[in-house]
Amino acid sequence: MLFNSIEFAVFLPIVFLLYWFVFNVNIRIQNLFIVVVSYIFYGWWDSRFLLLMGATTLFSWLSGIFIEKFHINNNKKVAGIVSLSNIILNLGILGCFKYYNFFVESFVDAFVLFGRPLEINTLKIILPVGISFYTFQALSYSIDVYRRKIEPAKDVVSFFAYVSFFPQLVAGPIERATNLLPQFYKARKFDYTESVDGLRQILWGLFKKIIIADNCAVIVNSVFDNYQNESASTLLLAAIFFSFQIYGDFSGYSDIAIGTARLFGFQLMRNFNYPYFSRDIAEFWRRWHISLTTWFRDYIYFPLGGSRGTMYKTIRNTFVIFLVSGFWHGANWTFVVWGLFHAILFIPLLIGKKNRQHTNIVAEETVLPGVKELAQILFTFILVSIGWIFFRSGSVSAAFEYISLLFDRSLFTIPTLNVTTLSVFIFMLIAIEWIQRRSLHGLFQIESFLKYRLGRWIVYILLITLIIQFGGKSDTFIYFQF
Amino acid sequence: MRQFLIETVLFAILLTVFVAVLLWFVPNNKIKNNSLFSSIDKHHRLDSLASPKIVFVGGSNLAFGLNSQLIEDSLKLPVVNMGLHAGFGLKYMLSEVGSSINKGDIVIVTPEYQQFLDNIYLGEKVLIALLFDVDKHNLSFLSFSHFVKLFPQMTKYGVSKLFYKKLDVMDDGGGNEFVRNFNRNAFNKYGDIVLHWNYPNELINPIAQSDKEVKVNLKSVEILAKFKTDMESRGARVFIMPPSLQNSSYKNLASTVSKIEDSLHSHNLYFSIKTSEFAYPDSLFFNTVYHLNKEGLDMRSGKIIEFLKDKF
Repeated sequence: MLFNSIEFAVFLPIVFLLYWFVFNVNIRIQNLFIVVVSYIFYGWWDSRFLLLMGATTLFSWLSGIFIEKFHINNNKKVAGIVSLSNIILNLGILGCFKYYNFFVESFVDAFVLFGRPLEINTLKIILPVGISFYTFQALSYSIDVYRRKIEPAKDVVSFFAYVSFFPQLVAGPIERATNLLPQFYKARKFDYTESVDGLRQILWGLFKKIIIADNCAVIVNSVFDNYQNESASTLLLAAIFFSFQIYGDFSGYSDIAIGTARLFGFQLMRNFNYPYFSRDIAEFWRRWHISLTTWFRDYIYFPLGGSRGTMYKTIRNTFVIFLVSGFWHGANWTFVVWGLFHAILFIPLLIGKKNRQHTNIVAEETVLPGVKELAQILFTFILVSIGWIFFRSGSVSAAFEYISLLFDRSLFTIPTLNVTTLSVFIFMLIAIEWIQRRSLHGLFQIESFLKYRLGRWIVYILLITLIIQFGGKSDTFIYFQF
Repeated sequence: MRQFLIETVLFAILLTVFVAVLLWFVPNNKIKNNSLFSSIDKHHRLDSLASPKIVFVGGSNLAFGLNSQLIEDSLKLPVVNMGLHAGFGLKYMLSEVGSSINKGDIVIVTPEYQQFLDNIYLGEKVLIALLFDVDKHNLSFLSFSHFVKLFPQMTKYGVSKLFYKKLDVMDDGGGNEFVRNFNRNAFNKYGDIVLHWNYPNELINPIAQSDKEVKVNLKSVEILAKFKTDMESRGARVFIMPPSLQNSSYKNLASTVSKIEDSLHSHNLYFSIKTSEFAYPDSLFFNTVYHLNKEGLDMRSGKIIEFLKDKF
């Protein structure tokens, strides 16, 4: 079920009312209800994979129980083996569904390169939606239990609810057990302010997804599918639009997910913090897909030694997490190169020890950014947009060709795209998010701007009107494929 | 919670009222006097004719594909051609004539093949324009399932009235001379479009063969079966005829047509004339694969006359 579908518009209010008025008998019943509706939500897409999700969840839960049992018996080694088996199982399933064909094809290509043709058949494998997200969530649990950062879930229902919680099931934010799981143990109380703001966050997410991302997609797809025949200025514009498409798509999804969770009394972690207002790449990665970046930091970067060792080790660890991050996004070399590209951009900041120079909010005390800040923001945006060309292209060679075509005299011609209306919307997005850059989302605390309810409601109706009228068509969210 | 629910419901009501006001009260000036308004004239004729009469029910394959005067003169029975647009959907087409059918009437239902696929039988955006901007009385012909299917489009159509440029209901077909002159006056008193009789054929691309497996929506077949039973119980006679279709498209759609026929047979419904008999050479089509030119529509009308003569 998609957040931007009629089905979800019907599903959400029904689930909301049942959750607060029928199944609020006790936490266990409420959690069980969450599991049921989450499985319905997931099964709406493809019911064949419900069993897979259920089995991996059950295995992760059992591993938690056993890890704790062996810990109590001071058998840390066996506890480690159990944790490791759970990791191998989860990654194995992920690998089979997501990376099998990639490895086979790369293996065959490598043999061909050395003059030894090889024939291995690939399989027609359907990637279960959201598998990378819930697998990582299950992994974090198992690791945290092993590290004794969290008590294992005694209640299987709470654990199933934690893994399958529908707002964030298919595209995150990737929650840590330490944050989300305890929320399933506590009684939830309806909070008026949280719920109202949750609805606003959903509305803002829909705006970003339906108006920005879906409309950008039309232009981006037409240009990227035919990039050899486009002028450099058109290619440049399409690359910029893809930056907004992927931001609108994914941060829009995250806003809807977080807003929906707030309606049910849950606090999910923040996933985006206005990344395009970043002044360097390091800041960008503190603001983009925060739940994944911090996941890699906590479970890969830190265990590898983080930045505590020599500069060589720090650089090596940085490369590792960017490559893994690229690989996580998909079984294609384009994602690996994208990760590598960002790692390369990161290194100068690491060497100069400037990777944490921008931890505050840009132009914190002023209305507009200074010239230097503006230049930094624009430069970072250009770098990020170049990276997105790798991300979006069908192959690495196509990405390089796309970039090379940008350096052409036709860069100074007028692009052959009609983007006036969309540009107005993108400007609107930038302006609103700039004003709100200290806040959680674009419509956060709108009361401070519009004192009267009628004024606020007019704004909501205006946004809904724009979404209905100017919404692009889309069947899915980009991050579903990851 | 109480406050939250009250506010949410109030907001939903406000939003609904806002869209309803747009739908109901704001006129769509883009369709002023366009061909949809001929529906009023068709209804007027349908209600004014005494029984027995011949009523043609379908989409634009009928509007562009009949010489009703020829039929009326040959059979000595008054004829009304209700065909206008396939986008109204089969369910609405049947519903809008249902109450006007009496004993002795002959109803000829000629649905485009698409009416049996997906849920086109419940109508499309053009139906909303007809209902809210042409004749609001026709709203009474809608069922609950219409509202369920059309609700998102109704909302969009209502909102689009705020943005004049976004208002489009009929395909403008490239804005050629025929399209510019195509309006309510393009029809004769029987309900046939006559404007195109003097225009040359346009280039028409045939419907391509589909790779996807075609599935017939049995709901539309059931609706047709029920209509037939209801009308026959009133003493009317109902014949189902295939639409006229460009030969090359007919060949590409062969398996789809066959599946539709199978589904009709499963409900004891049969085309009164073979589908192949209404597949005409491409040169007899005017601007779409369903729209005949004058020569083609005369041939088709002749075939219908021939068929009906046997029934008296």
